Amino acid sequence: MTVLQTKDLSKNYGQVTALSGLNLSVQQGDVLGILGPNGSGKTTTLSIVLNAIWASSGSYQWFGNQPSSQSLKRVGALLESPIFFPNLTAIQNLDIIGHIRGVKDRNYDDILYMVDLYDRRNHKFSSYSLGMKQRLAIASVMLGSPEVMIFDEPTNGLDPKGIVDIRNILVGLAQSGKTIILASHILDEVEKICTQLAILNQGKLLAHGHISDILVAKPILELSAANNDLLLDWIQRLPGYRRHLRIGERFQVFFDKVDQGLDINEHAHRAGHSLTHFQWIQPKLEDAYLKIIENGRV
Amino acid sequence: MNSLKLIKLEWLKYRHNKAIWLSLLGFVIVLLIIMLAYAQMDVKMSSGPQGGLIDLKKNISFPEIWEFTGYIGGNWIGFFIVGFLGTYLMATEIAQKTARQQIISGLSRGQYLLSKLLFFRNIATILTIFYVVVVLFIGFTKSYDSVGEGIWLTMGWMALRFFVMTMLYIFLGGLFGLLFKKTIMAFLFYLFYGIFLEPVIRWYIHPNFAPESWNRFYPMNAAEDLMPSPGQRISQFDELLQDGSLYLTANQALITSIVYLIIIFTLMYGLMQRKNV
Repeated sequence: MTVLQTKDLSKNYGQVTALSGLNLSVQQGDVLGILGPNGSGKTTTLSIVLNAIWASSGSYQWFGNQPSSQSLKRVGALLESPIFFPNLTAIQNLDIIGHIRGVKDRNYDDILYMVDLYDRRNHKFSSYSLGMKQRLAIASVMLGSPEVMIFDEPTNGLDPKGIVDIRNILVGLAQSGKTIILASHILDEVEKICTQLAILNQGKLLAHGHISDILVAKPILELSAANNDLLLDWIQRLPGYRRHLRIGERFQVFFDKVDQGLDINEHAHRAGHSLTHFQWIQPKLEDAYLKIIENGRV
Repeated sequence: MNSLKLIKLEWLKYRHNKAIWLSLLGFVIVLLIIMLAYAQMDVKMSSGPQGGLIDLKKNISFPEIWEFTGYIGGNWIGFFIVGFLGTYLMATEIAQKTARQQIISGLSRGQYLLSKLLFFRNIATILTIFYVVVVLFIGFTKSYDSVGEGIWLTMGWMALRFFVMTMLYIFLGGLFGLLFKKTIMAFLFYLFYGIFLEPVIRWYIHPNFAPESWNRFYPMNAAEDLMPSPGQRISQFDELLQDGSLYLTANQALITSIVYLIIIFTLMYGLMQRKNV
C-alpha cells in the first residue's frame, strides 16, 4: 500500500525555489531516508506533507486519500527542533499530543521508559537538555503507535552519546516494521537506519530507490568499446547485471552480485567486442553520495 | 474534534500558565481596589450648564453601579488585560511553533483557531462573572441604596454588554497576535491602535470620505460605548440638544460589536487557512 505519494510538489519563497517538482512515493513498511545537504528541501517537503506550510503547486496524498487532519492522526512527526510547552512536564506535553491524536491509553510510563525520560517525567520541558528534548519529541512521535513516523534531523545538536541513544531508538523502530521517514544530512545516520533512500539537492529529487542501489558499495565496472551500441546489449546480459549508466563514451555497470572470477576482457573478446577501456572501481558510500550531489543525477 | 474536546485541549495547555491566572486575578483585584477606593470618597461635582451637584456616590448604587463598574473594569482594566491575553495567547503559540506541532499532530487549522476562540470566550465569561460579583459585592456593601428591582432587572443586560465588550477586546488582541506573531509587538500595536490610530482615523481621516456621524461605528469605539463613562452619560444631554450624538446607544454598540466579532473571526479564519505555521 502506498502510504505517501507526492506529485510535482513545488515550493517557492519569492524568487527562491525551495522544492521543484518532487515526485516521491513511500510504501507501507518502508524505512525511507531523505538525504541532502542543508537547504536541499528536506524540511520543506516534510512541512508540506504535514500541513505546516502550503505547496506553491503540485499535490500529495496520504494513504491514497486527499490530505486531511484525520490522515495526520495516523502519522507521528518531529519537524525540525522539538517543540513543546516549556512550562509543562513531559507527561503534560504528551497528554496534549495524545488528546489531539485521540490516544485511548494515557499511561505514558512505557514510552517514557523507552526514551529514558521516566525519571524526569514530572520535570518541566524548559529544564531539559537538548538530548532530553529530542527524546521527548521521539516519544511524542511514537505516541499511540502511529502507522507512519517522521523524524526530521533527530540528532541535530546532540553530543556523541546522545546521537547513539537516538539512533538506537530509531533502529529499534525501523526493525519493528513501522513505516519511517527520516530526513537527515548525515549519510552515516541514514545508512544505518534506512532501507530506502531519496536524495534531494537544491529542491530537486536526484535519486530515489533502495539504498544499496543508490549508494553502491559494490565494485562498478567501467568500460567502453569501439561500438558502444552493440556493447550495451552484451552488458545487459552479464551475470549479476542490475543497471548501467552511460557517462560520455563510457558505461558504468552496477551488479547485484559481482562474479569475481569473471574475466571481463576475455568474456568480451569471445563475444566479439573490442574493449577500449576497462576498469573495476571500488566506490565509497560518501563518494557515491557526493557524486550524485555534484552531478545532479544518478 | 468537538467543542468540548477543543476546550479541554486549551485547558491542558494553559491550566499551569501563570501569566493567564495572574492576569485574571489581577483584573479582579485591581477592579475591587478601585471600586473600594471610590466607595471611600465622598465628592459632589457640578453637572455642567444646568448647574446643581451630582452625587458621585450614586455611581456605586444600583442601577448606576452596573455601568460605572463596567466602564472601569472594561474600558480601563479590561482593555489592557484582555488585550494582552488575546495577543499573548495567539502570538506565543505561533512564535514558539506549538501551533504548528498541534497541526502536524492532527488538529486542523480551523479546529486550532476554534479552540483558541472558545478559550477567549471562556476568559470573557470568567471576567464577566468577576464583574458581576464585584458589582454585587460593592453594591450591597457600599451603596446607600441597595434595594429595588433595578438590581436584578439590569444584571443580565449589563453582563451581556460587558461580555461582548470583553470578547471584542480579546478578539482584536488575538487578530493582532496572529498578524504580528510576537506578543510584545502585537500588544504594542493593539495599544497604538486603540489609543491613537483609531481616534486619529475617526476624527481626522474618516470625515474626508464618509458622513461624520458614521465615525462612531469603529471597533474600539463600539466596544467602549458598550460601557460608556458616567461623564459621557451626563454630556449626552447637551449633545442631544444639538441634534446629534457622539456616542452609540447601548443597542447600537452591541449590534456593531457583534458584527465586528463576526468580521474578526472571518479574518482570523482566512489568515489561519493561508498561513504557513
